[in-house]
Amino acid sequence: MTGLPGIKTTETPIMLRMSTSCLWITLATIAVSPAGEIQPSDIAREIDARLGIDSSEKAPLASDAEFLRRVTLDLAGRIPTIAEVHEYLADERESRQMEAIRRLMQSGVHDRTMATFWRRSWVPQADTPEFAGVTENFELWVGQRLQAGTPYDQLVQEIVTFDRLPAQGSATSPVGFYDANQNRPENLAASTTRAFLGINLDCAQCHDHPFARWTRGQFWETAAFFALPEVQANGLTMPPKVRVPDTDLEFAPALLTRNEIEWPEPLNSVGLREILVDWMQHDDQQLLARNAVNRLWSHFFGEAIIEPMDDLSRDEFQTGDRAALLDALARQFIASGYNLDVLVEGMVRSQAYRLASAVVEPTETKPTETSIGSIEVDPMTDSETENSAPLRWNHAAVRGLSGEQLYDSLQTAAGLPPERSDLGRDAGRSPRREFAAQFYVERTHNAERSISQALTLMNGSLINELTTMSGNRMLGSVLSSPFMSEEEQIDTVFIAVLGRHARDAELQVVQQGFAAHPQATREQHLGNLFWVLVNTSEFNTNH
Amino acid sequence: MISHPLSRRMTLKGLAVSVAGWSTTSWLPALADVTQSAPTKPKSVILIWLNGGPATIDLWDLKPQHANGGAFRPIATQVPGMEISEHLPMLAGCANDFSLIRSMSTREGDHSRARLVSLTGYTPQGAIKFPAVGSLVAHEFQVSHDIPAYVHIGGRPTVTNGGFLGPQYAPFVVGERGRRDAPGSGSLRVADLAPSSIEQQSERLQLLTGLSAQSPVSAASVVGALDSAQDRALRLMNPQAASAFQLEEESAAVRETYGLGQFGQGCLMARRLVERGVSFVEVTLDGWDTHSNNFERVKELSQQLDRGCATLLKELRERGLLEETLVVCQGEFGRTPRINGQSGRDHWPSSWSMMLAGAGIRGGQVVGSTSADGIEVESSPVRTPDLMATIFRSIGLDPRKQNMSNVGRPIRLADPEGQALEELL
Repeated sequence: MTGLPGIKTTETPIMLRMSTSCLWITLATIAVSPAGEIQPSDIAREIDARLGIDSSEKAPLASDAEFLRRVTLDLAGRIPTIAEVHEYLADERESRQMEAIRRLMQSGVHDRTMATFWRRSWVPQADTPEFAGVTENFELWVGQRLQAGTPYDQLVQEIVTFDRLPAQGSATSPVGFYDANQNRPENLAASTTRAFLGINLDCAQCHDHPFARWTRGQFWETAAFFALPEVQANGLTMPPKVRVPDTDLEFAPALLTRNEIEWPEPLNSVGLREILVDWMQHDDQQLLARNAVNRLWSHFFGEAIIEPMDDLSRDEFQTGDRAALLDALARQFIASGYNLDVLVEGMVRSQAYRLASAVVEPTETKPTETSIGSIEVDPMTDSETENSAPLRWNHAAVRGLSGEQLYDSLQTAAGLPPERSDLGRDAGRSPRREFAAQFYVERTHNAERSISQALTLMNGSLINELTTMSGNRMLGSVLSSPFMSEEEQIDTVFIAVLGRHARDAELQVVQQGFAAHPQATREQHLGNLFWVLVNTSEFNTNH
Repeated sequence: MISHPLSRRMTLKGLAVSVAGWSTTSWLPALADVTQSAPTKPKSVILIWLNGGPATIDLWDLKPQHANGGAFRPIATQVPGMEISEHLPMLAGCANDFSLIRSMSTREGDHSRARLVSLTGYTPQGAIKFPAVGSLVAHEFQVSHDIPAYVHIGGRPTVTNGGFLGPQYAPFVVGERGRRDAPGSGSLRVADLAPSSIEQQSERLQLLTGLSAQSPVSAASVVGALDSAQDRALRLMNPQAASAFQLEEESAAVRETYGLGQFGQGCLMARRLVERGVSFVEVTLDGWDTHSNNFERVKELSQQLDRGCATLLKELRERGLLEETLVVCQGEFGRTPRINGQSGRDHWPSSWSMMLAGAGIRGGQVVGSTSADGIEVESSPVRTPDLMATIFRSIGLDPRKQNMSNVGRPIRLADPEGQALEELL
């Protein structure tokens, strides 16, 4: 793991201005445990121990229905089907949760769901319409690599050292990472450090930030890894120099930790980036693993362990319970051989993931990370207190749905197959893609919704179609089942849309509503009920 | 999140009670004129967006003495010494109301990048999601109203979301989504505004009210955001609010004065919206990417622009709204002074012109000048950040005000490099 060809490891590497108290991972301990020994249960146990959740915890657990809906949305990107709900609720075995998790993780849609998640984490800017083509190919590529069981560090390596010179044709590839960054060294540097290391270099692009950990020089030194090596008159290659726009300043590639680099000869563009990614994989701070764990955590738990996710290297984030949790999980992730399946399964198997959400969030009035309004106080003060606060974990976060989750869940609720050819290529801009783009959310834990989105969910053509028998297979089969009582029909719509039975009080409300509108047909009644349920916040959140 | 004077439960109750028959009266207590304690008295902005990059050398800064000037003749305006194109006669007649900047000098010559920079005021940087100026203005003024605070008419907004300010400040789009070919005012439609099934709406709202009251989901902030959007959408569906988009309410004569094309009717809608307190309205006039046949096309577009824009200024003045409303007219860049082989002009960011009127802008001024061939800015070069600072200042906002961005770094309203043009304020 050490002694890389390109890098001389200095005895005492100059660290990123971090406090000495931060937890260094001793490579020795990891080196002796062969990859693959870490099991998901180890990760789940670690999470629960650090969050102070044991089996005798007082915090209430999610009901079976709530758990199934949550884990299905997180792992498969959609709500459970009526059949899945019935089967799960009828199952009383201890193993039912584990089996549901395994079944979902083995489904093809799991890779596609995670591909969307990772693509969005790495190139969030590719969610704008101008990059639509980029997104599709890149996500397909990520999905294929995940399906092949590619370890996370290798996935990153394949992206960062991608060679765009040979003609790729229409093959899937990570070229989208470069296109979304307009193939400019400065954009690629900012994206690479942010996406893969959780380091925010954006500020340093223009100036040395007052609080900063990073200088403008370091920004452009990182950018230089993405420039083309120079060929001298004598045929020898030289590391490139990049010039800061509108200045005479020029910078050659250098690592953020200032390790000395031995340049190979000849040096080409891919070889240059290999040095960078080698350092990312082996640097003692393990930002590569910590960033992956932190982001993946946010997929399952809402807020990340450390927020903002783009600033993991801040001094004040190196100590405290949160840093310790992140560090422990990162260590296990590395020891697993960067195995994403182990990490994912470990997170969803934890007690922490199973907690109920029906607790009023105390954070409700606190400004969130992307909160709007002028900054009256130094933003660091806020996140500092937040990240060093002791970890109290007594309920699950309520999260919004991504555009993809919302579309696939509407289809599922209506008994329709989510239009997908698994990892195959969609033809053009599909209705799913259009809808998902219209309902794009940046982060689910603080998702917002626009008026246009709300209008579309109430009056749009898709919803309109789904409220009729002909456009909604679930309604069609309920309506053509004469043996079902009105109560049973209502209950079935609840199960289809909300993944749970209707409660008595709800049944009463619905039946009263039906009775108050005697002119409506049964199809209209049930269509109206479907319309109402897909417009509730219960359907529109993961809780 | 916008805090409503009415609680959600009250709102839904109000809906259920008054929805019977979907009547036009007492639908919901109107929110119009209720403004929250804004730092400044809210003003409005109308951005007339000349999409594609207009040949401003053929609009605002003619060069009749030079071969680059082409076929158009300048005409005198109300303002002594200020001449503009012969195809803008109505605007020439109200030149006291507006000012020109003839020394815009920017860097981006690619459409999408130039649009992004022009509309956000910032050069794209990494993962920062810069909001459009419309979102920034809507966010600053926080006008609470049944109609959204930032409306985009006729086209596809460059920044479709609210950037780091969130979707609450996203442009609300009027017109066929993404369709550019639909001509005429018929396409100035708000998507999905009308209930999909009016006869079912009563039962739906009754059930929604009853079931929402029993929601088992905790009162998390995301739930609040969903409910708030749903309430605002229902408010907009309120026939009284929705009528802002009903151009049929205007007389045929007025509609005709604006020009019956989508742009003219869009200007009329913009006037109706600012009358109702909407903070920012964008109206697009597309088709300015004149690589060939420039003069014929610019002549036709100029006529549309002249009618729509001059009528808008006139009506705003007559209604006492011009002091409260900033009107900005520009595209993403100018076009080459040299005329190419197809009688066209190509992209040219380094010297171009634009127009400003109303609010805190002194009318009848000309800022800067270009060389006789139109190629060089000869005095007072103005860059995008300068223009942005001027726009914010003219509506009473401090360009240095900061908002937290999605990458955890505070961003000012206008790039701090910019200097407002004091001579216009």
